[in-house]
Amino acid sequence: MLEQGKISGRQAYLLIINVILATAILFVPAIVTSAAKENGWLAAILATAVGVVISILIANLGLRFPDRNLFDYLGDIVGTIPGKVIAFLYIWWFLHMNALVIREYGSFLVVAFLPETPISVFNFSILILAGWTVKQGLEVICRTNEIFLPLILVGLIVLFLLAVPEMDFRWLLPIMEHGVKPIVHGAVIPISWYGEIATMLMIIPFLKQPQNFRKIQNLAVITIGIFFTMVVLGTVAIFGPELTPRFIFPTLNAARIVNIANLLERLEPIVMAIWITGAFIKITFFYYVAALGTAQFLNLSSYRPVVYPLGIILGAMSILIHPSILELEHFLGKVWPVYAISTFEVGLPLLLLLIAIIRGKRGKT
Amino acid sequence: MLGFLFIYLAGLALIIWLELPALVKQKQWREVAAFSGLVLIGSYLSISMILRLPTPNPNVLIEAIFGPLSKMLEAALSGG
Repeated sequence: MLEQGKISGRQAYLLIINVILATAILFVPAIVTSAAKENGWLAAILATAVGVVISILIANLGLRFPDRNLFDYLGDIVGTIPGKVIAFLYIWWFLHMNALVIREYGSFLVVAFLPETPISVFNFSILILAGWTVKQGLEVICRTNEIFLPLILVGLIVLFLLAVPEMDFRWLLPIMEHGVKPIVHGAVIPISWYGEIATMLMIIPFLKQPQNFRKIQNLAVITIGIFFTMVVLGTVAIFGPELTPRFIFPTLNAARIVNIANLLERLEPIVMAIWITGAFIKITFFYYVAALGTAQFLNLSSYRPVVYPLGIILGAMSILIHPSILELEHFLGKVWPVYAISTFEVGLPLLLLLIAIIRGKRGKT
Repeated sequence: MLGFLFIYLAGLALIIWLELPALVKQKQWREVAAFSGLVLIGSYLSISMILRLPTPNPNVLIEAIFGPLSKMLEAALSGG
């Protein structure tokens, strides 16, 4: 194995939470309410339920081979050549997804805080830091996350508790006025975020006790669901179902509205801190799986030589792949969910699991 | 534009200087090849980004494949 480090169950739990929650938390109210209106919180709960199903699928595939990772057993399941093709597609997906996250990260800082700075400054500075962290290995990523994530979660809770005086929960009525369809519609994009849990297939063997992974993963998905629901309920109760989807970052606007006795106000720096630390861990983790995957794909003895070259590719991709933020939004909203869910998050893992069951392939238990 | 190109080349030189000598010294030719190949791909992308050359965008292909599926889903779920 190319990674010698081992991570504990708690670290894996926190890592999963950060990878899915950290960037999504800013967008989630706008995304779910644009289709589901005042029932956005039901869409968040529905997406969480589907997320649990996806995580059960991922755990079933991953735990058939508890001592090896996805790229290691791909060849065993489908044969060497198809295995290499699927591995290549997954490397592409890790890089593509990471390029999108980096672009979102830079766009948020430009749009919300520093409009005069070129976006490439943010993209490349986070990549230098992330590349350096990736070279230190998985343990360092997880330990960094152990420090950041509790602060992120506490920050979010404090933010929404302080915003309670601005909330009017009558905005959340009526429930299910237009039936189930808008709720399902609102849940599609969050489901594709939950599907990012498929990246965990790369690190299951690095857990100290892989057999606990199933429980850890389900617990993490439910924790994320609680936060999503809280944030959606909070923002809709502040802004109402018509205004919320018109913001790009409703959580930021919720922070701006907090005003306790003219003393405690302008809490946006909390949101900025959540965004930067959360996105940093997310970018680093996707960067790490891409580097590990590339090294396994090319049969290298270590993943460290490919880290910086991949960083160059990621940086260029993050700028090139979308000419403007409008196209980024269009792609993320209309194309990405179907592309990601149908292929990499559910399609291929399900196919691999079925083939593994039919051919009776499994690792040591 | 030339300024950006200069910054990029300086960064590239730094990365090569950090990585390559150790790999060559340990005679890890496979790693050297992988490193060089990825640096070449990265350089192609970065230089076309800096000089604004037309680059093939894989999103066009992805949208061509998954766009119709996405529209069908959209149509089925809206107007309920």
